Order: sequence, then structure tokens, then C-alpha cells
Amino acid sequence: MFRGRIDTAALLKSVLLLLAGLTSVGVFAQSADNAPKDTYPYPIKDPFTATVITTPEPLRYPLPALDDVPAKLRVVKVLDRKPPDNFWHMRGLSYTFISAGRRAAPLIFVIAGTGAGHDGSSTLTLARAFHKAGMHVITMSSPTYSNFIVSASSNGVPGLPDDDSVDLYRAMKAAYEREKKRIKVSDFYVTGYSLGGMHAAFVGYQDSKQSYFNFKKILMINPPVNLFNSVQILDWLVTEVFPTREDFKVFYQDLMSEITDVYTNNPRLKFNDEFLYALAATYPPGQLEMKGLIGLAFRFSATNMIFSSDMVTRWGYLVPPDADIDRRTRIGIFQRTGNNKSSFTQYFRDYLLPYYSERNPGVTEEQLLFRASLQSIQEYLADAKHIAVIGNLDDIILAPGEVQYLQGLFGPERSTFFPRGGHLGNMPERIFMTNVVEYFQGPVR
Amino acid sequence: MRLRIPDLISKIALLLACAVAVTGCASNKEIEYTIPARVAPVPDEGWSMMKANDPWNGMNRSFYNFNYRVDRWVLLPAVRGYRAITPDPLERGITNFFANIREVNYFINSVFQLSPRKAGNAALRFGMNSTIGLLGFTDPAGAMGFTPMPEDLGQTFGYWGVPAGPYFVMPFLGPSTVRDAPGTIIEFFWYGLFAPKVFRDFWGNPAVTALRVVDTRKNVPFRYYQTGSPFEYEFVRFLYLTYRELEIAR
Repeated sequence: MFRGRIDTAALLKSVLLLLAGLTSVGVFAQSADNAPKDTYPYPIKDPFTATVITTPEPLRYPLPALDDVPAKLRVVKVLDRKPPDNFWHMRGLSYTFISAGRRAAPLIFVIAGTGAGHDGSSTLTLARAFHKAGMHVITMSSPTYSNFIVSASSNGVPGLPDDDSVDLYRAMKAAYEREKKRIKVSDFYVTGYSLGGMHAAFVGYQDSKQSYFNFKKILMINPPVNLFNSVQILDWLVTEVFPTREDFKVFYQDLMSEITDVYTNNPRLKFNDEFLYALAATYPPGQLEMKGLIGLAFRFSATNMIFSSDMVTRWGYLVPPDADIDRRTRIGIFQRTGNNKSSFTQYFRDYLLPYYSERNPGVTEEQLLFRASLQSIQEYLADAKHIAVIGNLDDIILAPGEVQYLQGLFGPERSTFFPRGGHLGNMPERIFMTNVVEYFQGPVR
Repeated sequence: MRLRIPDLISKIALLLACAVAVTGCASNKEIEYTIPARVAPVPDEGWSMMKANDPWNGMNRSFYNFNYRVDRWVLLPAVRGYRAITPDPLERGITNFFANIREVNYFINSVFQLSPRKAGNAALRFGMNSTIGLLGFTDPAGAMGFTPMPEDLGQTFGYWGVPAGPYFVMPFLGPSTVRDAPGTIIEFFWYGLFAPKVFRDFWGNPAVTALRVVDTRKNVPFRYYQTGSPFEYEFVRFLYLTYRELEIAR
């Protein structure tokens, strides 16, 4: 049933990949003569390129095909709240459950990254690896994902990981309660990538207070350290590459004519990897395009998040608070306005912070921004020997000094950093994924 | 050859009536975009890649939601059942069989588009697959590198300069435009109009039609509301319109 399912990020990525004509061929052709000197076999030197095109097929950790994994789409009611009518098709919080069978096995929760769902491609990549290693798996959507905001976010305003982890913890309990009759669980684990990695740490902190799961091991994969730093970096990508809308229009129209050119001149090509190879061979892409694409993908998911949040709170950030919106309303204008004008940075500054300070008088912007960082729970993290981090030295979402901060906080025992891979580019890669799986299979470090 | 237009019209009318009955009489629902009371960004209506000619937005969204229900409660369960009881090689054979019959479509449209290369490709594929390909159940032509070059009536109209016109979500059949929709509907039924009687009887058989529908759905990976985006309707529209533009340019 999971054949060909797509999440927004994957959909966007495929669209944008098509638009940009990115492929490993073009990229490798460019970087073949200055190959890296260390022994890590991941070949892509440029972190932005790595982030977009991820790992070439031959270097990937071998995984079972999606069709061969008994993944079940489940829906659970978490909050007693009716969704706004334009979300009429949502009957609760969706998650994916993969059983390891009747024997006792560890249950691992996987938390998706910014704007991604429980059935997104990165989430299911991790899920398949854990399934292969014999674990029960439950994948959770990111608290920034539309379905989570509408069905499981208590205030409807995602962004502060401490509050979001309370929602996540509740949702994870609801999901486990629904499955526990069917499975025997030996230990509980939790992991997450990108923002989901940060959430995993905060979920661990919640767990230390609520003690429901008593997680045995927690792994953060390519997490941000300070959320505001990371969203600013991602927003700068768009403004750097496309200072005005006219710049983006030119970029888009050039791409469309390149695509049309290649598509019409090769009448047997279909839209797949083969097409991308042909496109990149004709029009080799550069780093600037990669940066623009990453920024754009994040901007699209920011708009999804902001619109969904505003529809729950009716606070009036993007949507007029009194606008009557139902399942037939023309809502494209909110997407266009959001994409053009609103970034994650603005979401923090102009929506989340005022929204919180309205409800908590006396709270300052600095306090809220601090709460959106790992520093706010660093005493807990320093002592929590069951939490570890894995990532890359060239991760594009980390500000200068943040890798060193993570290495210092977790020490060499609990931190692993690869020389290359950008942001999650090497997550499907064999050595990286082996590290991830073996962390959960080995003894507590 | 005997034209059975009234038959065709009554079938289409019946489909439309069903869809309208389920979705309610759909009208456009628009909101005035005033600047929200808070710090919202100013609405901005310059160029956007997501913009589209979509005046029947309200009706289209109703049909989109209607199609989701049809998909969820009828088509996908049928596909699941079909996949469970049919051996995979047979499934592939049936997909090849229907694809082979579509080559007749491709041939006619390639002729109308004055493209001997594409017409020749379709003729070769149909001739070869219908004979040594065992009535189209296997695809020896494709294995030799003669892969399909699909051309439909909408593309033929586009070739002759007919503009796409407004976006139109057809009940049951999905995204389309005013230019593309007639072609899709005609091509869904035309074998019943022009083909020899023996084929017409076979094709008009409800079981064959049902199999054709299930086979078509089986081969489309799209699932409603699985993008997770509140703007899925806009994304699908963007992808459909862009894709058709490229198909016509080819």
C-alpha cells in the first residue's frame, strides 16, 4: 500500500530536481579531478549538492523494498478538536507502524524532519533499516507537518521544541497504546533526523520527567543546535540566490526552456532518472542552483506549516482571522503570498514570538529563542549517557562553532561526525547507516 | 460502422449527474483578501509559478474531493483485491494488453500531428505486439527499444494551436483542461463507435471496462492527500499543467 507514496518534501524535491536538472552525472563530472583525500567513500564534496542529490545508488545501505515491508498506515485520535473544514479529510494523527512479528523486540520511534511526514522518504529509509535490524518501528510526523499541527499540536503553533516534545510524547503514547496489544516490546528507542533529531533529545528530556517509555537509547541525526540560527541560514539561501522575485522568474523560465529542449529532442525519454541524466549532460548545474533549491524547498514547507498553524489558531498571520474558509475555498493566494513573503525567520519573529508573549506576559524574545536550542537542556544532555549524536562536519544548517559544541557536549564516546555529506546527504550511505543501526544494536555507551 | 452518439452522450450525462449529485451543486467560493489585522504580509499578486487559469475553482475542488472519495472507497480497494488475487506476470500481461490497444490512439493522433516517426512507432508496436507479442500480452517491441510515444487528442489539439483553456477536474477521471477533457472522454469510449463489431462487443463488456479502470489505477502511484500539503490541489494543478505543456511541445 505504500507503493509510490510521496510527501511534500519528496514531491517538491522531484519537481525541483526536474526543474534544475540535477544528477550525479553532472556533479561527479565536475568534481572528479579533485577527489577528497580521506578514506570516507562518500564522493560529493560540495555540501549543498550533497544535500540535494543525497547518495548514489551503489553506495547506499542495502534496504528491503517498500513493497516488501509490512508497513501499516494508522490514524489515531490524539486531541479532542475538530479540524478546520479545509482539512476535512484528516481523521486524526497519521503514523506508520511496522511490526517485527510476535517475538519480543525493541520498539523504535522515528521522528521526521522539518515539514516532513511519517511516510516521507527519509523517514521510511530509516524505518526500513530498523525493520531489517529486527525492530518494531513507529514513524511520527514532524510537529511542523500539517497533519500533526491540525491533529496533535495542543496550541497549534509549532516551533519551540520543548512544547513540541510534550505534544510528541503524548502522540507517541497514543500510537503505542493503539499497537501494544499486538506486539511484545523489549526496549524503547527514539531517533529523528534534522529537526526531528532535536525533538528526539527533547522527547528524552520529557521522558526523564514523565517516565512512561524510559527510553534505553536516543540518537540525534544531523540535528540543529540553535533552531533560529538554522532557519536563518536556510532563509539566506533564498535571498542570496534570488534577491528579487524577478531573479527567481528568470531562473524558473530558463529551467523550463532547458527542460523543454531536452524533453522534445529525446522523444522516448520519460520523466525519471534517465531524463535527469540527459538534462544534466546538456545543462550542467552549479552550486548556486543547489542553494536556491534547498532554500525554496524549505520555503514551500514553511508556507505549508504557517498556513496550517494559522488555520488552527485563526491568529491572523497569513489568513484574515474572519475569513470563511472551507474545503472549496480558493486558497492558492495564501500559498503564493507565503512563498513570496514569509520565511521561517519571519514566522519566528512575527508570529511565534508575539503569539507566545501574548499568552505569557513578561516572556522576552531572548528567552523564547533560548528555549529553541539544545543549550537550554545541555545539563540534561551532558549527563544523559543514553543519548548520542551523528552528523557531518559540513552540515549546512549548523552555524560556525556548533559542530564543536556538539562534540564538546557529547564527547568522542557519544558523537560521530563524518567529513562530508552536507545536511542528510549521506544518511542513506552504507557506513553512515551502519553506524546508526549499530548504535541501537550495541551496548549502551 | 455505426455511430452511437446518443449512447455515448447518455453515458457521459450519467457520470456527470452522479458526480454532481454527490458533490452538491458546486459554485465558486472566494474570499476577499484584505490585509489581516496582525502582522501578515501584504498580499502580492505578481508573477508566480503556481498561478493557473482556474476560473471554476470551486467546482474543481468539489470534484477533486469527490474523486478522493471514489478513489478511497471504490478504486483503491478494487486495486488491492485485484493485486491480491492476480499473479504478478498476469497483471503485467493485462497492463501490456491495454497499453497495446492504446497504440491505435497514438497512431491516429500521430497521423493528425503529421508525425511519420511517431505514427510509424505506433504502427510497428501494435503490429508486432499484437502478433508475436501474443495479442499484446507481452511487449517484444519495447524490449527492442521501440518504447511507446504516447499522443492523445488533447496533444493533437495543442499541436494545432488550441490553447489549454481553463483547468478542469473531471469527475472520476481527474485533472484536465477544456482542451484535454473532450479527448479523454472520447478516447475512453471511441472503440465503441468505430471498431469492428466483435471488438466493440468485447470492449463494451462491463467486466472488461472494469478491468481496464482497475489496471489504469494500479499503474498510477498518486494517492490523494498523501503529499501532506494543505496546498495539494494547487500542486497537482501545477504539475498537470506543466507536464501537459511539455507533452505538447514534444
